[in-house]
Amino acid sequence: MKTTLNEDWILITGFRLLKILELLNKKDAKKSEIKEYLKNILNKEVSDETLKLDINTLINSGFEIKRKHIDKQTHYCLSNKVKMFKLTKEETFILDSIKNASFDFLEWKKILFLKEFYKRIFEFAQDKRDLFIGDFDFFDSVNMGLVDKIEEGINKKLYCYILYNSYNNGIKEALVIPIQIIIRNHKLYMDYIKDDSKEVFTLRFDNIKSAKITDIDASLEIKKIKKSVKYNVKKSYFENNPMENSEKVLKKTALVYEIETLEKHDFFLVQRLLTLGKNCTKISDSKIKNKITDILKETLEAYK
Amino acid sequence: MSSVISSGAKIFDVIEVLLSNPKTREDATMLLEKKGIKTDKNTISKYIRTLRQSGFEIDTNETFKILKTPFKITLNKNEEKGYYYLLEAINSLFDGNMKQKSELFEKRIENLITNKIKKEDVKIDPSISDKTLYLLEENLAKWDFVLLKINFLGHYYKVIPLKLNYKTNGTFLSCYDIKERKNKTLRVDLIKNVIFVKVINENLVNPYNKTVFKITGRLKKNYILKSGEVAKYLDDEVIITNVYEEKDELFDRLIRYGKYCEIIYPESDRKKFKKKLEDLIKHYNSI
Repeated sequence: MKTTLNEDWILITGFRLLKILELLNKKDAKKSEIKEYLKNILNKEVSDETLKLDINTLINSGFEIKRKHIDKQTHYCLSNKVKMFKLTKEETFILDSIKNASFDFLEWKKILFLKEFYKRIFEFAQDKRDLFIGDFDFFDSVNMGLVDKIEEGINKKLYCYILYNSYNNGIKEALVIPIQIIIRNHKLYMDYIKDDSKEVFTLRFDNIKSAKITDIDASLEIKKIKKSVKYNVKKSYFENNPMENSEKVLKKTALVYEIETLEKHDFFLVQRLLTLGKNCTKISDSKIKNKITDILKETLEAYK
Repeated sequence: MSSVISSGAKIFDVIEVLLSNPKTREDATMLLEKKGIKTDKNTISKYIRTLRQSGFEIDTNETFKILKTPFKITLNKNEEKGYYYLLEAINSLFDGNMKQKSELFEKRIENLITNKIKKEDVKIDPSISDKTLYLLEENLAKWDFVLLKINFLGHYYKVIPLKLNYKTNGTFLSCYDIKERKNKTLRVDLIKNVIFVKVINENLVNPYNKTVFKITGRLKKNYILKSGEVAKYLDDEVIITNVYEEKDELFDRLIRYGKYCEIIYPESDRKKFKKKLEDLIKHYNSI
């Protein structure tokens, strides 16, 4: 048997207000429906006058409740969902740490979904300055339909027509073979080769305006892509320096690691080798080696 | 104006105070008093009972904290997937103290959302497990400069942790050695002991060892400031002052930017950098 709630025990009005809010937070409700709902909980009738007062109190407290008259019945609806939850500073910090680590570890597709969750949960952060979701901003400027299309092209090994924004030449069209989608510096890139070149180029996704998959098979051209570059690095370097995600150790000797890199883009490979400096003791690709010395010579000009 | 029941509406003031996550019961009481709410034991108990009866779960041990709310949200499909990957990251990345904290956090999120994700279904990604044993250090580094005493390969160092770098072959702690006055990068799995010493004043970090460089060209827009760097944006270039980074480490990084980066101060750093460039040209020509 239900018992009537004791007014000395709880604040009946406050309780009723919260219960009305809870119901309206789930769905719009007719006046009769709210009264029935309250009757079931309180085990006593609630008058029209009391309900009217309650609704006015809720409105006065800042909740956007609208009255609608449909078929001679009063309906109540809550415009904005109630947010009675706040993440503490520490919880926000945990979220921020996971986000930072995820950019290093999770594959690009997972990051896209993580972004959706973070955007939703962001509104609950007690102090929004503690959770920097700006890292995800880049992904908002990316057309995800385009990413899906490019990914399909990569999986099927087909040529794609792309329209892209070139840094020097404005909007351009090109027939390309997309080879991988990759996150670099919290941004999404497509690595590709052009029809007439074996070199790998890269394009940031926000610069790609549209893409169309053709039915031209690119399997043969993909096979011709330089698979990897090998170089030797002093073993001592890795005692206190991290290995790149794209690096794989082929052979270890007492003094040297033979590394194979899966980085397909020359620009990023050259950057890596420049960082290695004298710790790099051999490079298998002479073209890359020349690029490095050219960059060093150019840089030196400023110091003469 | 329509009639309202002001006494009943006070429940929302109470909720607002609780949502501000007061650190202690005393803080909470003070905030309630500011809102004109009686804070005698009976009144407070009555508010808490009302909230509990309405479906709130409230922790009253040290302070008043809302653990569970009857006002839940439903994640859409993509958000739910995102939450799954967040749990995957927690499972794979965290250990020790941080693991405990994140489990409490998970519980709070579970109480906020209507979606049900079975914890046992969330995988541990083997490629990222055991990588962040010391997220605590990052925690400390983020809010304040703290001094830690760490045992690295049998030696004790006093360092200010700056950043953790997660790489496939291990986690690396970038830190500032207070005694040697230079930055170090240490493998986290070789750190045997970490002792928190104290929160320190930022000025203790040597501010006179700075390097100033300029970034030009297309890199100007894309350069991401590192911890401890200050930038001045001009029309054609960005002038960056770097205080904390160890010189060799900084030079290795700057060399990657090629002609788009030039060290402008101090002259001694310019000379060292020039020498480094000349040596490297010789080196790459010889290998």
